[in-house]
Amino acid sequence: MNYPFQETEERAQRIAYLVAGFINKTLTTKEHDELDLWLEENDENVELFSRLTDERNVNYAMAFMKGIDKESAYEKLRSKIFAEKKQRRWLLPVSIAAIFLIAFSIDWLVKTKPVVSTLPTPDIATTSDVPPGSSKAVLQLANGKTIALGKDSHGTIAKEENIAIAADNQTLVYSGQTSSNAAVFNTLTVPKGGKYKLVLSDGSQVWLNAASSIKYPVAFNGPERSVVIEGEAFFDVTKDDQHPFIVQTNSASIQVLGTSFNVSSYLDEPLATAVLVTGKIKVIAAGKQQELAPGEQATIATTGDMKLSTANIKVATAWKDDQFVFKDAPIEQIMRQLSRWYNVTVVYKGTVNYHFFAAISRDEPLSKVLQLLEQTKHVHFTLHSDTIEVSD
Amino acid sequence: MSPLQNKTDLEHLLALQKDNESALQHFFNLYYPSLVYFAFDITKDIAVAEEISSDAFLKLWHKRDQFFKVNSLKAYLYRIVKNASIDFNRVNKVALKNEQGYQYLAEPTEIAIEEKIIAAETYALVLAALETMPAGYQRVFRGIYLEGKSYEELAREMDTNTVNIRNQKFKAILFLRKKVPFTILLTLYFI
Repeated sequence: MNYPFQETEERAQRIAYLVAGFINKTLTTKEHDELDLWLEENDENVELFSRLTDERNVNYAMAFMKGIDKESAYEKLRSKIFAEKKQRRWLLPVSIAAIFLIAFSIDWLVKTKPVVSTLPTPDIATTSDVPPGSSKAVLQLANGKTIALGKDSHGTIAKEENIAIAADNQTLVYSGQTSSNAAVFNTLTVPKGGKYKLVLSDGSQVWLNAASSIKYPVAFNGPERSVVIEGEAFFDVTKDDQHPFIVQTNSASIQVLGTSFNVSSYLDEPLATAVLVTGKIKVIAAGKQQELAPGEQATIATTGDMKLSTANIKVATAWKDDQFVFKDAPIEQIMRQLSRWYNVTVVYKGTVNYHFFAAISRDEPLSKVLQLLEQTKHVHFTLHSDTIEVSD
Repeated sequence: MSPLQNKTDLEHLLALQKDNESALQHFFNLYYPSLVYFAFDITKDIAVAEEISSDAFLKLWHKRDQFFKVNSLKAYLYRIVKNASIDFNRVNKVALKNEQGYQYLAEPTEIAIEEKIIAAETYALVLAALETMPAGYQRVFRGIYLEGKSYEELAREMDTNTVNIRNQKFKAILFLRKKVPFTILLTLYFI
């Protein structure tokens, strides 16, 4: 098959090849000339070229694409293909069974709970409920080896550069001294539906929320204590004026003396935020810097624009105490959090213009949270296995 | 390098026509990340971008016997994702308008779409190049070209001297020139 769109796509591919070759420094002289020719065509091309080769955009795109979980996405696709194959064969008997089941459940509901029905209930009758997230993470050592950590992980797991790595009480702890000067990095990754706590070799504590990761040296032996995060983390940093603590995200860098603060930098959120609880931090984004006082927050848009405002510390750090606290929150913001904690996909079937106020424990199953939101009568949910449909 | 690579892609295409699911996985691994990036660029919603891209492969699977060139397959995927993303924006206009942090998303023009494809493809190629490099080269390459660091800064970070950094950089470039099959996609036009 040939499509008219194919021409556009092929031309785009050739330009992409030239620009990528420019970034990678792999262009031949001839290709360089070809790129120059394209740039000379018009100003739009020059503008596009400078946007594409902007180091921040390249880094953002690298982080974005690396963050995509190809394996589990493919597994989902496979199960869809498999379900289709099955469905054709079993469609009729299954749908008859489903009708009976629904009829039966309605009957049962009417008989057993005649009074309760004033509260709206999400449509979860045909599937099992989604349990809340729990302590789990994957540790990647400097040699690339990975170790899965769960609720019950316990004892010494590994040793790097004389530093002992132990798991205890859903926390990963680095302890010991090293004489080595080599920067040896480990990475702790928390999947959707997970959380984990980490104690770094300097005693600083880090709580990681669902769908987040942190890269850090096993021991801090340089002039700075530098870590890189993606997603959301709460830091309680050990004071050491001689060695500033630096948190890098894809959009900002945060310099710390000794303090506690929350950083949220999810790629699927429109804004990244840093909320200061105690002490003093400096946030640097897109070449500008701002100092924060306790109770203040910096929000950073994808463009790099930074704004300071008063923070709601309870809302920003509720997750660390296993709570959801929503204050004047649009449904999309709530659903992104639920999607990460319950590892579910969200589909919108209608527009919900209402802003929600709610607080509930993160240990509750998903249906409880949805019921609570439905009580406002401004939103309705349908839950099929791991997908929530949102309608008004 | 490239003729061999071409053949395997083409072989995968033939296998796909014969209902081979691992051939689908091959194309999925190759194109899924750039399609998600592209869809996200239009919709600004990561869950939707993933869903749309995944669905494009489902549609591809239904039509698996109809592709005879790798390029038409790729163009087909981009077209499906483009249409679904624009549809999504049309339906969700109001929602996006109201959500804090987003402006109303105007329907992208054909030129804007082409620019977004170029961005997705460019970055997919840069990532592919980076990922085939050994870790040490990668660090130097990223540091110098992407993060704009000086030799001195990198040497300090990696606890080595600037001569080593210079060597690593040189090796990284040689490595890329030799190993990265940038010509894969291009020679295919002529098959």
